[in-house]
Amino acid sequence: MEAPKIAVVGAGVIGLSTALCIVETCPSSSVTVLSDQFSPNTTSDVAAGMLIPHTYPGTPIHLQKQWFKETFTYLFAISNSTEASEAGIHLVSGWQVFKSTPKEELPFWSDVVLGFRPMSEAELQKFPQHRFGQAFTTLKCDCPPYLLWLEKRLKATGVQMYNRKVADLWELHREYDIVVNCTGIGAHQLVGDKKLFPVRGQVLQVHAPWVKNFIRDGDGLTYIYPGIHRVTLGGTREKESWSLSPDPGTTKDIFDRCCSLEASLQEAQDIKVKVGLRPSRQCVRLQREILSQGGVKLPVVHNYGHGAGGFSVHRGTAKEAARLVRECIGALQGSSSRAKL
Amino acid sequence: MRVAVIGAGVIGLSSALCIHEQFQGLVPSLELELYADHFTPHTTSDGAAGLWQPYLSDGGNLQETLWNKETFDYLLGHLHSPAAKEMGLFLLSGYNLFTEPVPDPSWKNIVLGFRNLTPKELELFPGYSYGWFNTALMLEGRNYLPWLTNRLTQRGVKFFHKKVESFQELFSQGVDVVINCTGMRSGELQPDPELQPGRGQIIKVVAPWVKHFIITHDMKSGIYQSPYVIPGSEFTVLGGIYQHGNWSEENSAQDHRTVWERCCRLLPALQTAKIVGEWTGLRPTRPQVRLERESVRQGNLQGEVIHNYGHGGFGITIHWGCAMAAARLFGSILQENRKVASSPQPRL
Repeated sequence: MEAPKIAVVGAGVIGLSTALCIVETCPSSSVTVLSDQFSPNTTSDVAAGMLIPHTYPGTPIHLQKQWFKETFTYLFAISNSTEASEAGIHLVSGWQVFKSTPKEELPFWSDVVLGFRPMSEAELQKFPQHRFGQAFTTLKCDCPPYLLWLEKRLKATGVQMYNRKVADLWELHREYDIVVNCTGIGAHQLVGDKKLFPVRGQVLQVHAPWVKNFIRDGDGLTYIYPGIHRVTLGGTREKESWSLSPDPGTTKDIFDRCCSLEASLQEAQDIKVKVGLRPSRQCVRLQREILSQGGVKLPVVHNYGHGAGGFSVHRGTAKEAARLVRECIGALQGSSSRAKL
Repeated sequence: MRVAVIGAGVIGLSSALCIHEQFQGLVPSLELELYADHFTPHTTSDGAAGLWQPYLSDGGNLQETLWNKETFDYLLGHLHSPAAKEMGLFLLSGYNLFTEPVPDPSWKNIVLGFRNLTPKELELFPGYSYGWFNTALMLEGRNYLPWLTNRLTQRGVKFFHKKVESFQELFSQGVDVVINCTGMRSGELQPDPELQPGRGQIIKVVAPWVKHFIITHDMKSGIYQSPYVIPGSEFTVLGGIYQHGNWSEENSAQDHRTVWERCCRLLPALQTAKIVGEWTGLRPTRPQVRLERESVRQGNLQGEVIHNYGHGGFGITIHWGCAMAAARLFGSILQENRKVASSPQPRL
């Protein structure tokens, strides 16, 4: 078949990075990105983009580590290049602190990030309510810059992007040969995945340029992540909440919790409140499916359900999705050549 | 008791504050005045990036290491106070890079989390094979000096915008003790061949994605002659110039190129950074800090001088330890005065 036509649905970090991987590994294909939201209005835009993995209960650890490592290596190279500031990728050091010593003192990703080690007594003195901590250096992907950079790279390779609400993947079967579903929380309705559920996160983005280190409570609820222009203060993890409206009580609670970790945040200015719905699942849905109606088939590759860990594994899962797309292309070419006999 | 501090850089202002805090309550007659021809933002301290970091080797000068430690601990204690932001005080982590293994510095246990760099971290810095990571403090002069000035003003310390030509000038006005914090131009008040300029030139850029200090070292050339990048709260300082004996305060195009090219090679992303300023300053360099008392007499004019100058490129790093030492010297002057005042007069 001539250039297979591939539609990637979704333009958050997963959709855009998957589209880019497909372009890189299937150069003869024609890739189009379809989404009803683009940066700065995606879930990814709310995320701080810190490379600190979330653990998926349903995915083997070695695979999660592989995805994280691939993502870290990819971004590490960009952070070290002239494109770093445009792509919004930068190194940031800091501390993860625990009120009680965690069961697992060495997380699976400790040898992927840089300089991971337990905090010294002197460092812990800065956190009187916490008894244990880890210091390390990792990467941060600021959004919108990272998404805009991905969009720019895609456009440079000829990828078209359209603002379009896809109500049903099947509607794409006439225009496209393969569909890649990177719709994040949208998959709940789009493909009726009941295993996918939102975990609502509210964050504050503030002006506090003297904060240069990240601080994260090991419970994952309170964190301070310095970005290029703003510091993200978080957060919440509200399972099954679909509300995208900021809650003022939550805002105050987040601010207070973050100030207790970093007192100087009292002087933070220009507080913006954002809400995102983490597209959560026991494991990332990263698999092929064939939709068929009346003898017509539409191969689909799903790549959604990254929950709190989208940025940390995006490149790794995008590469796997691209591999699945190549398999689909191979299968289509096989069946079309059979059809010619 | 009239005390005049000469100099309004970090050394002068902090010495004044330290002395006033310690003795104003004990000596109700204490009148403290501060004289300077340059105030913030026009002092040498204003141009410094503000990173707390001593030189690599203290040259066996344990006293200076102790003053550095006193300063770090003092600032660390202020980190959680509401004043920290106004003071321009915040934590900053970063890298010191070398082309060969070097001994650990005297300050390794003063800073937080000091450790060697891992091989993967060194991949970030081609050409450097060894290094350190630690968390230190930033104290930005452009915030700290106004903060010190406000504290002094609140305490009733009087400021005089004037160039003092001699110690005698002040003694003749009735000043009892002079605190000489005149930095680079101390030689104009009293010749000191040991005090030499260590000329530095820096470029200020907007590069808010840089969250670490990066200081490279060329052991053959000497301190600050190798590129460094220090992110502040509003802009990032690029530097790497140290010219001993050069008194020029003009920016040099050649030095600009040296700093720019070397820093961009170190951090390629800097090529996209916007340049917003350039500055030259003279580090008041001396084999060791001059911090001592001197009785100065000319004709029938006499007074005590406490010298506190020659802090080179580590003024901010050492300032509070020196201010405390200057205050101790002042205390000893007070003590002697009390003894003289209370000792029995000879009867004729």
